[in-house]
Formats: sequence, C-alpha cells, structure tokens
Amino acid sequence: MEIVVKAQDLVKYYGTGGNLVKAVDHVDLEIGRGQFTVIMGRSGSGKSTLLHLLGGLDKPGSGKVFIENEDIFRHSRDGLAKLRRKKIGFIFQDYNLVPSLTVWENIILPLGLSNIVPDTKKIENLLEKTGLSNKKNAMPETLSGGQKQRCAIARAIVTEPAVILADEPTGNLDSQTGAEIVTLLKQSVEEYGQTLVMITHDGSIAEIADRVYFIEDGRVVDKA
Amino acid sequence: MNMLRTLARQNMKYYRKRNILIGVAVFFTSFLVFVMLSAGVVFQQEQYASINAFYPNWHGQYSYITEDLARQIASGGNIEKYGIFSEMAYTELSKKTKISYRYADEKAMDMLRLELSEGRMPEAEDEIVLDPGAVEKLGKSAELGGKVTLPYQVYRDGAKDYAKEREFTVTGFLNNMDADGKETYIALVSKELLEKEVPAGQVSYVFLFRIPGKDVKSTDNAKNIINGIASKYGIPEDNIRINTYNLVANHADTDMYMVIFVVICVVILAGIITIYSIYYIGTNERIQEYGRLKAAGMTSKELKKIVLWEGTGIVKKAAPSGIVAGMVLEAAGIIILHSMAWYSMDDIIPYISIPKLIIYHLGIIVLAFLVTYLTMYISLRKPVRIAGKITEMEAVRYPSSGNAGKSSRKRKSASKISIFYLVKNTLGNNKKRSMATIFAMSATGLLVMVVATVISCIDSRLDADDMCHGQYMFREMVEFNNKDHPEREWQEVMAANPLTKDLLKRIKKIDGVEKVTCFESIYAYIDELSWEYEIMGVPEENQSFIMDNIVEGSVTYEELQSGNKVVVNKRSAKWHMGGIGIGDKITYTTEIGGKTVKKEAEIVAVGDFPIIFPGFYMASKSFDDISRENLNAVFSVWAKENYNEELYEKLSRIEDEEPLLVLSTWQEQYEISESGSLMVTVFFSIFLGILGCICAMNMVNTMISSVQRRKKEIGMLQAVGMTDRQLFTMLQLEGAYYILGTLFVTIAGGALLSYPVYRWAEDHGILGVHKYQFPFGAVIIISVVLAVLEIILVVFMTRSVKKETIIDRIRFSE
Repeated sequence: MEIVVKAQDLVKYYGTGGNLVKAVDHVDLEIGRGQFTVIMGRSGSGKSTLLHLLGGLDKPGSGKVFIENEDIFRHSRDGLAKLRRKKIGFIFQDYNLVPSLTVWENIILPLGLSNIVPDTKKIENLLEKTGLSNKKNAMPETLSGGQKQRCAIARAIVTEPAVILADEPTGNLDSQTGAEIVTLLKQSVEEYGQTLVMITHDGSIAEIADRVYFIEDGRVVDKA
Repeated sequence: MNMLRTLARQNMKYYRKRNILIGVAVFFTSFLVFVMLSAGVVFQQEQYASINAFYPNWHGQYSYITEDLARQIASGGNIEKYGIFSEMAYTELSKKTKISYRYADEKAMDMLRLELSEGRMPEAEDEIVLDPGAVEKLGKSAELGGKVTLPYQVYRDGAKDYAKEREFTVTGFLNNMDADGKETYIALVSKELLEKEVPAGQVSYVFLFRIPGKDVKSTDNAKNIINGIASKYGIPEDNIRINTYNLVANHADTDMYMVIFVVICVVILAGIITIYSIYYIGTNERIQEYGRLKAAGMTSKELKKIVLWEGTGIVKKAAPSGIVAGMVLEAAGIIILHSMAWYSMDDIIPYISIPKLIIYHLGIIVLAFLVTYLTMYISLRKPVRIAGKITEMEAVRYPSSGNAGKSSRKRKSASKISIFYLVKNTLGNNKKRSMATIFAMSATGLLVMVVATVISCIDSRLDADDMCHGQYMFREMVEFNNKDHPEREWQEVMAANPLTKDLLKRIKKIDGVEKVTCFESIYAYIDELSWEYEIMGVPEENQSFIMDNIVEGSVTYEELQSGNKVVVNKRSAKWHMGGIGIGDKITYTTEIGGKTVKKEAEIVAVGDFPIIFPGFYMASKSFDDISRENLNAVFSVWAKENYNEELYEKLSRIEDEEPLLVLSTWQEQYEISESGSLMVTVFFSIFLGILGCICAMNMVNTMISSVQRRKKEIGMLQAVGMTDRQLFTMLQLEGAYYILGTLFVTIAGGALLSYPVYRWAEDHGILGVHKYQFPFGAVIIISVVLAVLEIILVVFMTRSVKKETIIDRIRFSE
C-alpha cells in the first residue's frame, strides 16, 4: 500500500528539567492512502500534538514528517503553508471558522488563498453533500454545532487534499450529530480517495476505522 | 478594597503591552506639559536676570530737573533709589555715531548699568572716563593715566555751542559692551567740569529712579505711580520716560502665559484623544471579562474603580518619568542656549533667585503631574461608564474573540475570495471601530495641520518683501516730536529732500542696479482717526503697484489722481485704523511750505501693500495742488541679485553722505526674519514631533490590538494555507486603509480648519502671518511618517506573529 503520511522518530518536548513534558516521544508511524486512521489516548497523552506535527501546524524538536514522500519540514514557512493548502485539510473540534465570512466564503477560503477561481458547481455539490445548501449565505454564528462542523469538513476537502487531519471533530457534538459527521467524513474521503486521520475518544468511531493508534505519554503504545 | 487594588495591579501586568502604549502617551503628555511650563518660567527668569544684569534697571526718568527738585522728589516718598546725570556736551563721530559727555553720580551709573572696566570716576575738571570704542572711532590711542585731546560742543542756552578741544587725563575706561552698531558712546566727566562749562541755572539733570518693589504690582501700576509723581512736581508729560523693558521683564507677561496655556490645552487634547481611544478599544474587548467579574459578585462601582485605578496606576508610573525627562531636556536646553549666548551663566546667576526658581519648579512638577492625571481622568470617563453598565450576561453573550459580534445573520457571499476581499470584509465588519480609529488618529493630525499652516505662513521671503520694497530701499528719516532731532520733522525733511532727481540718476548708474521705483508721500492729520498718517503718492509709471495689489473694491488709476479717492492698506486699516474700509471718508490736513491744505477723500478700495509702507495710497498727481516741491519719500532699488556686497557698499556711501536717508536691504530683513522664524519653526517642529509621537501611540495601539484581537483568526487562516507573505500583505492593506483614511480626514479637515486659524492669525498679526500657504511640507511629512510607521509596525507584527506556532495562535482564546 502506498504510504501517504509517515512520521519518523518524531519528538516534541515542552519545558525543561523537572517541568519537561514529552508530548511526542520518538514516534514512528505510517498511514496508507485511503486509510481511515484513528488516534486514541487519554487527555494530555500527546495525540493532538502528534496530529499538529503531522499537519505542519507545529514544529517538531526532531524527527521528520513525510506527506506523499515529501519531507514537510524542509519547506520554508510559506512553502509549508502552500503545501498545507494543497495536500492537507484540517478539521478542529471547535470548528475554527472565520466568523466574518459566510459559509460559502469559509468553504472557498483555501481556494482563494491559492488564487483559484472556485468551480461554483463543485462547491454547490459540496454544500448539498454536507447539507448546507440553504445556509450558503449564513454567518457561522447562526449555525448549529453540527452545521459548523459540516462547513469545516467542506472547507477541509474543497481542495481535495491527500490527507484530512481531524482533531476530535465530534467532541463538541451530541452522539447523533457526531455519528452523522463521521459518516459524512468517511463518505467524503472515500469519494475523493483521501486519507483520514482522526483523534477521538469515541470507541464506536475506532471500531469503524481501518487502523487505531493508542498514545500514552507521547509514545505509540499499541496499534490495532 | 485590597482585593480590588490587587486585581487592578494584576490587570496592569496582564495587559502590559497595551499599558506600555498608554504609558508612552502619558509620558509624552507629562513631558510636554513640564517642558512648556518650565520653558516659560526659565525664559522669564532668564530675561529678568539678563535685563537686570546688563540693561538699565531704572523704572522712571524725568528730564530737565534741577538738583534741588531732584532732592525734593527723592524725599517725597515712593522712591526706592535715585540718581542723576546730565548731558554736558556731544561730538559727532559720523552720521550715526556720537560721543555724549556726561556727568553721572554713582547711583545713576548703577541704574544705567555703566561700569568701569578699570580706573576710577573723574573728580577733577580735566579728568575723563572713556569708552574704548569711542577712542578707537576717534582714531586715537589712550591709556589709563594718559592724556588725550578730545573735541566737544557744549549744550548751552538750549543749543549746541561751537566745537572746542580740551586735553583730558584718562582716569578710567567703561566696559565696551555692544560695540557693533553702537550709536552713542558715553564719556564721563566730573561735576566740576559740568558746572564750569554750563552756566549756573542752565544745568539740567535727568532724574533716574526706581520705585519700591512692593508698590509695583503690575507694569500699568508702575506707570501710574511714575506719572503720579511727575504730576505732583509739575513735570510735563514730554519729560517723562518709563523703562518698559525692565517693568515687563520683572512682572507678569500675560501674552507669554497665554501661549503656554494654549499649548498645554493642545497637549491635553492630544493626550485625551490618544488615551481615550486606546482605552475605548481596550474596554470593548474586555466586556466579557468585566461581565465575568460582575457574575462573580463585583458591583458596578467596584468595576469602575478597577478601570480607574488601572489608568491612574499608569499615570503614577509614567508621569514622573516624563517629568524627569523634561527636567533633563530643560537642563540640556539651558546649557546649549548659554553656550550660544553672548553672556555667561556667571553673569546672570546673581540676579536669579534660586529659592524662587526651586519653588516655581516644584509647582511646575506638581502641575505637570496634576494636568497629566486630569488628562487620564477625562480619557477614562467613558470607558469607566461603559464598564459600569456591563451586565453579568455579557460574560456569556459577548464573543471573546473574533469580530462577528455586530455582523448580520446573513449576507450575500462573494463568488471568490482574495486577500483584498478579506481586508475589505474585516474593515467592513468593524466599520464603527475603524472610523473611530481614523478620527482619533486624525484629531492629532488636524492639530498638526493647523499649527503647520501657521508655520508655513511664516515666510521669510514674504516677510522681507514686507519690510523692504526692492532689494535695497532708501527712505527718509522722518520723525515727529524728537527734541534731539528737529531736522527729522517731515516739513524740514521736505525742505531739503535728499531724494532728488540727481540722486535717482546716480543710483541708476551704479553697476548692478536694474531699476529704481520712486514713491512720493505727504504727512497729513486725519480728523476721523485723530492722528498724523502718511499718504503715499504712486507715480503713473508705477501705477501697477497700486492696481495689482487691490484686494477689495475697484478704482482706476485716473480716479486716484483727483485726490478725493484713496486706497487703504488692508493691514494698516485693520490694526491701526479701527477697521476703516470702503465707503468711509477721511478728512486730511497737511502743512507744507507754510501752506495748509485740507481735503476730503473717500476710501474706494483696499490693497495688500508692504507693511513698511503707509496706510493710504493715491496717484502722485493728486499731490499737485498740495505742493509742487519734491515730495519723493522712497526709492526702491531693484538689482540683478538679491544682495551684492559691492553694490551695497556703493549705496551705503550715499546713505552716509545724506543724514536724512536710511538704507535698508532685503537681505538684511530676510536674515532677521529667517533667524526669528527658525526659532519658531524649531520650537513648533519639536512640539509637533512630540505631539506626533502621542498620535503614533494611537496608531500603534490600533494595529497591535487589531492583530492581538484576531490572533486566533489569523491562526485559522494560516492553518488553511495563508502564507506569511499573504498575511503581511493583508496587514499592510489594513494599515493602509487607516493611513489613507487618516490622511484624507487630516488633509481635508486640516485645510478647512486651518484656513480660519490662518485668518485669525492674520487678523491678530501673529508671527507676521499674512499670506495663506497650504502646508504641503507638513502633509508630505505626515504621509511619510505614517507610511513608514505602518510598514515598521506591520513588519514588527508579522514577526511577532511568526514567533508563535499556528497552533498556539489557534488556541489563543481557549
């Protein structure tokens, strides 16, 4: 299987001496194309830090991250930003939508930053798939949690990136909405052949994942 | 209460960045207030000390007094100190310089600030004390104890007697101060010689005196006392002289205090605008925090106290630093000024009251602190009110980050997104705040524009044009009621008018002279104005001088030939003639060649003529029925260059030959104006610079808080692929919006506001302002400074954003 995401001896420590926190401690992992991978672990185990390192949002102390065989930290800051635009889609627990932009504008934002004129038909399809067709011109503050997360999903997949990194996307949602979001995410990545890496505490999500990594004190302690 | 203070203190630490900005504004406010006040006091004390150290310090002077009357006045009360001197003789060294032979007693010497540099006062008939400058002018050499033969004409029987010579023994020398341009050199003779040369009964003294300090409450009060004593002893008004310099220097100068007051008001205003806007933005951002405090049980009153204490806490820290910096600048300023002054610090220190100076400074320190405190208090009024009105629900309702609070629920989406669209969207969503920021920044900009307009209207070239018509100008030395110079009475000057056709030809022939324009004039008593005024007659060949300068009304040159139509000088009319204008009539009476002519004329137009020229203008022909004699009054000499040393020397020779001619040069007037305007410009530039720093704090706050507030949003944008370059462009465009907005309001508003200020300055003759000039220089400086500041700020902010990882920024408000 083609490896899309690869972490090699990844390290991220915070603090020094007695206050040293080993958020990510010599982690090695490989994720294949089209796989749905779940990362699980207790709060403070370092799973979010690992996800941020995989997406280039944070810098590792040492180690490497490869996305489609490209060492992402060899890029300049701007190069990394462009790479994120093209190859990585992020979904956060608290949605992180730009409050001053409408649903439509939030979705096309990554395209705008790449100076790409959006394909209106494609975006309308995306809205339909995410159930936001009637919310196209709405401001994020008027949406429910589930709708906000759908909008965030649409934004993450609009550029058809190779990898979707989702940090507890259902953490703020009720179980039914959470399940709908996971289904939507899974359908989307399957349709576009994308790789999904998701952090979750929800065992039922782990059950439908292709692979599960368990993290404890910054180390991968188990794989399933 | 302690908890509240602790909370206020902790808040001050937590909001350190913002408080530093406010602190800088407070620092500059206290600094400026201290510097303005101390400059005023130091200037006054220095003026007082230097006048007392070097200039005559008598308060009043009565002429033509006998020794007996002097004793009577002295014993009559209200006299603190008196002295007498008498002018025995004089000798003319050149047209402009003379030696005055005087007898003076010790107290008169002291009050006239005459000091011996060496030797002693003359006692015997043939003894004399000389000014070394006079000896040099005479081309003689004299040494202490040596003999010198000097010429003099004794004042006898109200006239100058025939010149004679006498051999004197030099017993001392006077301090040769201010030798350049000195017109009268003093030679001190003994009382014995005075009484020998001037017949008994003809010796008249000048009585100099000082009135007791406790009686001098103001300059006007001193004048009243001096005039009162004179009237008590029957001394005519013409024989009284009052030393206004000394009185003004030693007593309240209301004009200077007015200037300081206005400047301080401007500083306070700038401070209030800046501190207020920083707090206003800050308070709006902290609404949720205040809501939480209220939810935790804090009362509105307690919340208000916290906001107030945070502000006053900054004043307590920043104002003393500003005052100390002001003191350092004051000390440096004194040292620099003294290094340029013609006298040394040691000379004036004995005349400065150190305890008084300390008390003044303590007062200024307290005042500067209080004024800064007041500035902060006023700035805080609204933020305190806002904080007081916040409800517990705001903690839940108000968004802690982002700027969507006021956005609509729905709007039309843009079909595509660009950096420019993001900027437009951000600014559009914060319209009220963006406008408030622009207006707050523009308020200081407007102050700068108004002051800059006044400065730009101070034009040394225009000033010089105002004081000298042509590159060189010959005028007659006309003076009225000068007993020493009856030859300067206008009728006397006209009888021997030196501005002849021959002289005109001679001047025209001089190499370098291009053209000479002539003007005639008469002096006439104007009934309506109850004063003697000069009326200028403009010859036909020079009629454009009148016609081109008319600013109101209309008249033809031919109409001005009748003598019953006159053009008035705009500024003279405004300042010296009680606002006389078009349609008013004047009845003028002139006496020349034993003939008296009375005529009437109507003011038909107003012109803007050089201020050195008279108030009224007619055609030369209108003087035909007054006198057919030579009425030339001015020869304006136009040359190839603004100034030529060789040409000046040739013209100076003519001036030396003609005792009633005065030569002035455009260059000299230009230099005088330049040195004067340089000081004003430097002073105002420093003032505006510091004011600009206060204004800059506003912009720094706006930009920094805009990034701080949107830290999370910026993080989100970067998480989805915004590059640093795109972020930089976005912040630059946002900054550019503030700058362009500020510049627009500053320039447009400044132009509207500065014109009435210019009119006011012109009306009041402030700093010689009389032609409006838009301050393009200031606009360029403001634009460049704002643009540079914006670029620096954006670079600084982009770097500061880069210091944190994207994920740290996204987590910012969590």
